[in-house]
Amino acid sequence: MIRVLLIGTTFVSVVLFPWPLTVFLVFASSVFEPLIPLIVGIFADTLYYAPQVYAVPLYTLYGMILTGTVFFVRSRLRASTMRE
Amino acid sequence: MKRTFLVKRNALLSSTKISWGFLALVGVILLFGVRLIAPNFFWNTFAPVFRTADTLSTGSHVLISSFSTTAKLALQNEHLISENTALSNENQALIQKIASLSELLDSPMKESQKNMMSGIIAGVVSRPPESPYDSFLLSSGASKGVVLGQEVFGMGGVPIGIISAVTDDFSRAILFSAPSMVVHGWIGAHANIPITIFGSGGGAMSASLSRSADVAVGDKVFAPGPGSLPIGIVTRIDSDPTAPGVTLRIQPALNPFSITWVELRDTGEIFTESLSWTTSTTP
Repeated sequence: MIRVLLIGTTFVSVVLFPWPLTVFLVFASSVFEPLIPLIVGIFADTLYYAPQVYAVPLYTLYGMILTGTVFFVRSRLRASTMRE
Repeated sequence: MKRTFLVKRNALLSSTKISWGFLALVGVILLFGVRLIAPNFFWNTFAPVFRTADTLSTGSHVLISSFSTTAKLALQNEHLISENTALSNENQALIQKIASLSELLDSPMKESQKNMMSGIIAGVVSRPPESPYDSFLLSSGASKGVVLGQEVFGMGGVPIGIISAVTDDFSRAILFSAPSMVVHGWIGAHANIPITIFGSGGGAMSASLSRSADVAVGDKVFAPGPGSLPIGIVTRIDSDPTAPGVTLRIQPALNPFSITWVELRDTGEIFTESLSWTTSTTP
């Protein structure tokens, strides 16, 4: 329940709240789902991206980097060789 | 002997179920596709969401302020300061306009010049919170006569940007503070020193100037419009002793992230010639 609420708030915050709070929520949500930074990045660019300002959609780029980092950290944390 | 097979697992897809995150990713990419393929439909769908968000944001601001008298006074003070800035800018603009009109007194006003004076009022549907994309989504589009390259004015006739994309019902304005924007303007008490103004993102601008130029903190910066109009104030002068010039940090005359409506006007070739910005076919 907390997971759903947190991820839902992250998406709402893209439209409603200032960006530092969105960044914080993205970090918190990425603990549950590593793809969240990338998804939120694409969502933010869907709403705000102006190709006349930057050739590259920045939020998507940041999301991609953070998702990559989360996947890397998760793979390092999975220290045990035993799998389910 | 019983053999155990290792199951190769994928972070996104597994044989048993597809990650919901992957589904959400596909959904968001589809949404982005809709914006690219049918921008007018997309903005018509999302405009009510942005308006609701704006109303909620204003309501929460008022609610928080109502808890203490100090906050109320601060809000009132903030309002009065912005009103004062707008009036001051309008005054500066009128002074510049009088000078321009005085020069034109001998020649009759052309029809195109008359059109320049009347504008299209547009509401700001969405504005990113301070972000790398200094842009507005406006509630007027081609159906109301908005065209690419029109100049965008805020309260008090302060120029704030340019129309960069137009759909049937909506348009997008890029602010002068956007990182890709380069505006050729003027600085000084009489707007007589030419400068090149660069957008720095997050509502800020900067310009480089020779050290010998007599510029101080508080000087107004002007951009072309009908005449020269104030767009910002010098808030800091960064000086490196080894460099021949100084860098001016410019604060916009209006806070772009609290603007609720703007006026769009076609200010002619003089304005577009003074700009340098990238263009795109994507709205």
